[in-house]
Amino acid sequence: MRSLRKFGALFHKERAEQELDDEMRFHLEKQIEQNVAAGMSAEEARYAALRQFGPVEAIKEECRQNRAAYFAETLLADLRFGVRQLRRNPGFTAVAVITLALGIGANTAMFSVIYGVLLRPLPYPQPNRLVRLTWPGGNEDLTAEQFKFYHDHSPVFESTGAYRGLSTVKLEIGKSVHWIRTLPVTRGFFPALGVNPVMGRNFTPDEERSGGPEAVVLTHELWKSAFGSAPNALGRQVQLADQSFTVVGVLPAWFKFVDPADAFVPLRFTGSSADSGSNTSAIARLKPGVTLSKAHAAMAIVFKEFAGIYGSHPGEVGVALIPYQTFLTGGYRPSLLMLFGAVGFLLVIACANVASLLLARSASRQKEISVRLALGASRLRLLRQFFMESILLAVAGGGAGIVAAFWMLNGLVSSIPWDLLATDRIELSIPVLVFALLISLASSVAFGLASFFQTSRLDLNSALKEGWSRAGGGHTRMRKAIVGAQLALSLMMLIGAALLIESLHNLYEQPTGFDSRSLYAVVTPLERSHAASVTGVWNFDQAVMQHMRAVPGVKSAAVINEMPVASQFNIPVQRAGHLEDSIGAMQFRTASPDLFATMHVPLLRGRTFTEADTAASQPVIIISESLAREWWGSQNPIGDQVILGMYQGQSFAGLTEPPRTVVGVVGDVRAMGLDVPMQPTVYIPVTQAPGNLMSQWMRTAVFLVRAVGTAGVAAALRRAVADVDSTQRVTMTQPMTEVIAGTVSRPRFNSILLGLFASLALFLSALGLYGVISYWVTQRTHEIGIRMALGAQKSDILRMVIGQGIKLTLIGVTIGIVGAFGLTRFLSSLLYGVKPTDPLTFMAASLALLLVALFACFIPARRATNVDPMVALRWE
Amino acid sequence: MERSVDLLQGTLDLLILKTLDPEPMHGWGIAQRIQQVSKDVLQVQQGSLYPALYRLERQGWISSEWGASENNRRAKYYRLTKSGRKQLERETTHWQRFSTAVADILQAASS
Amino acid sequence: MEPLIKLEGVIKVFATEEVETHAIESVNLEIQNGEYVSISGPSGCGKSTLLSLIGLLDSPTGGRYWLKGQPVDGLGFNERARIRNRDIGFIFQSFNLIGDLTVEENVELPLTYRGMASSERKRRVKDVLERVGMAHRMKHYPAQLSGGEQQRVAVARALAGEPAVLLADEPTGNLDSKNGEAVMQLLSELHRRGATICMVTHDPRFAAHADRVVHLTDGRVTGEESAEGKIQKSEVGSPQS
Repeated sequence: MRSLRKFGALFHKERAEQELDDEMRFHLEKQIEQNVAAGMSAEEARYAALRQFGPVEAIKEECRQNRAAYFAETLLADLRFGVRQLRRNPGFTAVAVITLALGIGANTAMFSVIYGVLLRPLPYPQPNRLVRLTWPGGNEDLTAEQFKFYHDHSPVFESTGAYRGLSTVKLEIGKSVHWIRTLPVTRGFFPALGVNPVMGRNFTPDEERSGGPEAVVLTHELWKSAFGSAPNALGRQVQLADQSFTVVGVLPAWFKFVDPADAFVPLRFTGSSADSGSNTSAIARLKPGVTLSKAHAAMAIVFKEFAGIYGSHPGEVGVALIPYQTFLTGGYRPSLLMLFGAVGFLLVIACANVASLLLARSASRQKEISVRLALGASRLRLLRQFFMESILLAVAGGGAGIVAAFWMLNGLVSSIPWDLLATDRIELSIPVLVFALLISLASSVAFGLASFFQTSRLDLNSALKEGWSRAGGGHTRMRKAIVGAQLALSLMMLIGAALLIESLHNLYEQPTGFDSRSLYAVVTPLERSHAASVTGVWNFDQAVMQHMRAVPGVKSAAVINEMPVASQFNIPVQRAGHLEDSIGAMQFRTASPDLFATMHVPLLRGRTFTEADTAASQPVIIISESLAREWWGSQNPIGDQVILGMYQGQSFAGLTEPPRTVVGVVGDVRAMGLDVPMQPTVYIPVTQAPGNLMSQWMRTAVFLVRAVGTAGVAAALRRAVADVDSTQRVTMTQPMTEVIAGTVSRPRFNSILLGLFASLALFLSALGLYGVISYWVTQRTHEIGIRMALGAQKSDILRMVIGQGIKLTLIGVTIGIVGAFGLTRFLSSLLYGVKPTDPLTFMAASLALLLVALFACFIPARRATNVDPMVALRWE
Repeated sequence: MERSVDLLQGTLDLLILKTLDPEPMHGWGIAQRIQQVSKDVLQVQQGSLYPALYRLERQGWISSEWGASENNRRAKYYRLTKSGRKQLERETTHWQRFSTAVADILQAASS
Repeated sequence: MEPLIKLEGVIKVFATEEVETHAIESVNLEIQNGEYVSISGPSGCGKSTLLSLIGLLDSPTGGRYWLKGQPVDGLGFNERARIRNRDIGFIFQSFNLIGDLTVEENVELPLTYRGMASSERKRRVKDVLERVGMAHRMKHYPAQLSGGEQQRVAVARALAGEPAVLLADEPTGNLDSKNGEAVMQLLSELHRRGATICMVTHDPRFAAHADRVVHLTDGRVTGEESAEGKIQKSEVGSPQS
């Protein structure tokens, strides 16, 4: 109530003034009347009344100060003055606001990402109870056996669910066709995530049974887009990958999963080869009140039981429970934190620039401040006025920053190279806006304080007398310190960016084992009609390759089951008769005869596949150089035998294969990721692929085509596939170089962003340096004039000014290098082939900073040489 | 709310509160009353009354409103509020204790 | 004998957008080696401008200028800087010492611009500071010195480069009479030992120290007198015949 009245008084200041006047006048008039009544003349009465009353204006002022609304009124006055100050210096204001907007905007955008993916709880009920089950010490998935056992025996889970990889399949509803992504999940998947279908139901045990009825649960979005949100969608029969499925449920609109599935189908453990691999992703919901450590202890016992019954795989020592959010964000947490740190630096640098600008301005405002102090303004009042300006700047900068963040965020989110649970969770939410407000205010306090301390040191007397010429020293020192710090921070960022860029370069420089130039990759997920049998696959492959070879410019075409560098497929393999020569996760590929010739993979021994290697002929295999070395050393592997699907004498993967004869040794090819060392690999002819495993192993065909002349080749290759089967989709047609570039999108994202932030930082620091040196030159115009009179050449002046800047820069460089030594080790998980303290990188970054600094100093230095000694000397 | 104020200001505040105790008054009236009652012993400048009035109003001890004066002129009247009355009691006891103490000391010193 | 300094019909016009101010109008002046010339006149008569032209701080708008027999009008910035450095020693009214540098460094400054070896510089600095009686203050900063002392240091700085001519612009203007007299004594002493001095002053008492006084009014030479007897020149304001 009282504050309300205060507020009202603010707007009725005029009236309050009027009332104050009226009250005083009333008093004086009464007194005059009384004096007249006492026998004085009118004039005497008047003077007497005034004398008795005292100094009217002073009393009025005292009344105003005692008035309830006084604080608010003066605040308003300060505010108005602040606005006027900022409007009077539009250049200064614009530079300060833009600088702040950059800093605050970048921070707000980055914080939106951090908040959206690292801090904000997952969009599931009680997300802190969600865990991911993996093998200890890694992110490796469970085997089907493990999952089933844990599912059935764990005492700590409320529900347990499993899922496998996404597949892109054709959905046919009557006559309409949609390509959608399906995720096979177990019945426990939805309860574990805490989601229930809004319509229909979850899968039944019967639907999970091998050979049970086929059912599909739709996401809300697919229900909307493909079924027009029709309520009768439930129970509809649809074709999924040419098989009949019944729609049994629709999920709520809020539900999202990290793998962007459009629909869910039952995951069935059939005991096929697919179940033997560690390829079952498991999630679980802890029972209420069960802590992670308690759950760990309980699961250790469960694992012992499991191992007692099934025996354990090599290296399998237990089961790890990872909080689901940690699991999801673990991959990009270091990158995001690193980038957040970088934008933090950027903000500090931006604030430093504004502080430096304010200092320069307060130097020119010393006279005004001295006058205010002399007129009796309290230091507190001055402080408030300073902060008012700072806060106004910060608010303007913050506002512009939020707009900037909005734009930056769009670009940022679309270029984020990680699978995020939901990018729409990255937004300018309330916590993000609060963050923006807080950093704006914090920055205003930072630079407001800087300029205030400067003026509070002001000696009133000397400033009034000679304020102009002498008092600049303190400002300059402080600004120099600020610029030194800016340069140091910039250097740290530059070094970080240089290290990342070098890592990226190192990755690009990694040999792939083949020639990626003028090589095209065409990826098609095989329709069931083709993938039904090995013969079907091979016929399709051959037909496509034939059409591709007919495309002008194409020299050769081949087919493989996995994209080189970008994807992998492994099975256990053992050397026949050598139990110790077993590899559990051997890279395995099916290849057409001319694969090696097309990729330019060198044949080191023996032969490649030929048309004569058919399903009926002798089973053959080609091995990679590293495998030959590992198992045969200096001996010749040709003619020796290996067994697919066997590990230390045990058969895995539901595969019983005869031994295959090694017919050739080829060079190593990078399997998955440029940062992963070459892995031993085996190749078999497509024609000899184990028939019962076609559905898992050769779901997609990757055609590799060497072609000269790029124009139109990609489109022609697509057409080649369509010519064979117009219903067959092509999911990717890309030059191999782009495919490889795609595998380093994360390091590239890190490098680009940090590089961008570092450049901005460098630019702002250079601006700061330029400002300080310019000011220094302005202050020393007279001295420069004297030096010229004494015979200084232009080069002498140039050297003197640049020397000032370089001295400052060298201090910054020294501090920056020390700081970088401390900080770059936090980058080590993001680096490849370069040490965090690589001296060459440190030197190169320092040199770059020095060059920019040199340029920033050169402009004011040039101006210094143009000082007219006459003018400078007269200016006394 | 206890506030340490210097003697003069505290005294003036007390006098104003006391003066307003029986009925609302305007500033001039308060000045006159204080002068009369104190038999011209307490000669304060009339103007210094007003800052005190504003201060007391801000404390919430008195409130003001515009009304018509004796000869129908607009004047600002001050009245004692509830909390003002309590403050008056507190100040009065305080003052009495203080003046007794001073009187005792003076007596002791003179005898 | 060839004059050390010879000005012939020198003009200086300051032009702004609206007005042209003729600061110096056709001045002819010769200063011989070893001469002590004083240029005097009321303030605003153009005497400081004339000194700046002689000191090559400024270029004339017209006319010719020979220094040591060499034409020096129309030279570039760096050539003029070199001549200022080697042949001219400036003494300013407000001393113009650089506050951040010590007495020693101030005096050394013109020598460093000459690329002189450090040991030679030190020797010379010590030498000239002794000559002006300031050797004991070498490590002090200008702010720690009195006005008179500062001007002595400024004289030492002007002398350090052994210039052909000392140019003094109101050297006593910022000094009290006692210190002013002392500085004038110092200049006279230097002159006795052979220095060529050209001094601008509006104070007739100090002008009297010179061998020859050139009167300047409104940018024109309006008269000359020598110490030995007043020789009023007849061709007031007109070019030499």
